[in-house]
Amino acid sequence: MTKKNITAERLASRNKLSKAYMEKMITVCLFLLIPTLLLVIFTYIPAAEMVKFSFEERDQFGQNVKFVGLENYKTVFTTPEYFAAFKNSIYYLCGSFIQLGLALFIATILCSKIRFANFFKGVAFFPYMINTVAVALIFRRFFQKGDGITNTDGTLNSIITLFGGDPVKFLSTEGLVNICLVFVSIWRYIGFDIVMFIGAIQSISPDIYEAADLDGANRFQVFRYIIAPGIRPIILLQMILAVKGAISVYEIPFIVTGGRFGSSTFVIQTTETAFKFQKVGLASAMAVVLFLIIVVVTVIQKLVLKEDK
Amino acid sequence: MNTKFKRIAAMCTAMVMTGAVLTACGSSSKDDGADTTTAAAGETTAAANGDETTAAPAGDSDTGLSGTIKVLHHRTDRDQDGTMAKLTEGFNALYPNVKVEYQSFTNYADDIATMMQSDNYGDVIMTPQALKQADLPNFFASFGTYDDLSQQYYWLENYSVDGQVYALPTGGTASGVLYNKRVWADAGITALPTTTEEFIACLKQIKENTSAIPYYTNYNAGWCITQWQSLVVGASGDPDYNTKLLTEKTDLFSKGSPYDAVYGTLFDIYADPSLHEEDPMTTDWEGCKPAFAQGKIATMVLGSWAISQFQEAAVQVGADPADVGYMPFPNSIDGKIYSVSSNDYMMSVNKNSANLDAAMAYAKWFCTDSGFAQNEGEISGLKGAPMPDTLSSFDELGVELFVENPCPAELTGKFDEIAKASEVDPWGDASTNYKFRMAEAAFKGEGREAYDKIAADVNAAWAASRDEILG
Repeated sequence: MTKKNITAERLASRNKLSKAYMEKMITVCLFLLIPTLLLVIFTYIPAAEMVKFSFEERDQFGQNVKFVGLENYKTVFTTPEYFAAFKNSIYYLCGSFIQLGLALFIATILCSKIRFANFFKGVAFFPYMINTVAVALIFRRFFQKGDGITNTDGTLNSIITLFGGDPVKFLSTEGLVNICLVFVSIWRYIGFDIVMFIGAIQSISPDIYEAADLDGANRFQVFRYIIAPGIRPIILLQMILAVKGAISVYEIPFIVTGGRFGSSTFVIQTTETAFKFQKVGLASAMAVVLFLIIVVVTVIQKLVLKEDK
Repeated sequence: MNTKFKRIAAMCTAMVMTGAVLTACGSSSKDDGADTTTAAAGETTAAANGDETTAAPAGDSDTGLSGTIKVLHHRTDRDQDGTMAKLTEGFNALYPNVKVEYQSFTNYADDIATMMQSDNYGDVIMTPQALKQADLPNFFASFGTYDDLSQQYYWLENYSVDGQVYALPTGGTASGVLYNKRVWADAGITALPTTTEEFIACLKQIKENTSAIPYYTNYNAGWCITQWQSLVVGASGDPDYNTKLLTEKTDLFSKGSPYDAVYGTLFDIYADPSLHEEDPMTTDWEGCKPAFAQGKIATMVLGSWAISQFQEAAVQVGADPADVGYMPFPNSIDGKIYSVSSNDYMMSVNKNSANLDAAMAYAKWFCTDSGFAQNEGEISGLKGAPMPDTLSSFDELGVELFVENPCPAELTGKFDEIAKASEVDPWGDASTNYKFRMAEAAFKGEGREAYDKIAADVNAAWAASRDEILG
């Protein structure tokens, strides 16, 4: 083989390589195109618009737009009522940690060899798929205290009376209403946590369980030394999402009580500012503030929990 | 490292998305799937006909109008039961070449606001109430001058700018109290109350003598409490009441003021657990209609628009629709009781419509000759039209039903501006609204001091915004 030939071959192979590389790049780009486009159109552009709105005074129809600089932010930070709504987030924060613990427990059980595991997975995930409006109807009925004329006691009060207790106005009592809503929230979102945990647990190699079995580890030891460390990143992610969810809780209280009886949250106040008082600029500023609060809390959480590499 | 970055990116996305609820795209996600768009099937035809219709500019002879117009409205029930389709037949008898399509929205007010960010918001629409009066010409075509049209229609004042009218009334309602005649008679009440004290005494009498719930708050449906607001101007007996609030700068709440008469009564009823339902947070609007017809509920504050719905419910459960009675709010002034009539949704025409003339013809026909208001038991927006049967009791009681006077031009839109800026929002149903604060203070048994405190807060917030806006 002459030298010239080798060079030509090399060149050819290099061309071939770069051609393959190009093809791969094109495929990747094409696959990414649509999701990226959707993300940009429906998330980043609206979010950027929102930041712009937060420096303006405008109504729901995009009329009477006026640049006001930091005026909206000044209003947000000088109105203590807005931040008072965060006290309800504490209920949801406590609730979300109960939810995580419970989800982890159920996920661990469902991953062990039990009968009908798939059926129970389905049962646990089911509430997550129900339309929120239906959820509101279900729980209005569940927590209802009947008057015996137009309606009867709901499920919970029926059980309470069965055991000789007195029915309670769960949703019409301040304080109690938040606990009920946290319960609804746990019921609705726990399925998602369970599925995430199951996925993580199942990605642990079965060899390790086998080895543990041979070594005579009991269930708790398996959880403590194999499962927990194995799914640590998912647990940390879920914790961050839980805190984020507690700060920005909106859907459940909005549809079940409309924020009444002291169940309002910051996001409910934000939407009301935008759509009931026609102060879209101010509401955008509130949303940006919420976003910043979540970023700060997440960073702090990351630093405190310090994920090991 | 890479996965960590991805996770953070995913989280940022999640957070941004929460924020995005606020921007244009987000407003419909609020109700999450509750929106029903009934005319989905019709949309393709609209698109197909679009070109052809723009090609033929409207403006040929009156009967020769042609094209396709799209009507956006809030009455999903009337779309589903075929009432709208039937209406179109009447319209097509006059204008056979105009094709009318309907699209109705459960969450109309928010959805239409979103659509109005573009030029594409149907041809004929129900005028959004949240839109500022001064902005009407930015969106809608003029029907003509106020001087001409006000001879023919009521309630144009709040929908006119610079002497031009941008919306016509589809109908209107009177303010008052819905009551079950049979239950009230069973309780031994022979004459309807003429004062608020008598009204509460009647409710107590119903509690003692019947098994019905004297007053149903319907508190869970947030909008139900806003019905009390419609009583205020009627309780004043003064067609210039709202204007005087601005010119004379009176407080909303003071001893014996219309606001005090209305909301003081609300507070007293809500504060007495024996007068209303057991658990206000789990009430059910659809369920209360048959319960009312069956005599399980005696009284509710609702506009007269509700009468026909409750009569329909009575027929459905085999009760007597004649039991559905309607009376004015019993706050008599010098021995006379007043009620105010006000407009329901108005109708406007998109100024960007490709078939402007056909759209105009439809809107005028709908508000004048369609008979929609009569069928719904509403007050016709046409001056001189007979009162609906649903309000026949007002004649018997000698109630004076009046329409508010237009406010002076320089004060146009100021009331709404103050209402939103101060967040007092008399018509609003935000969770922080004074109506909810009063109701919850009453439910909790906090007593009249709590009411006075809320009233004082309202006065202060209102006065501050009023003085800032009016100078």
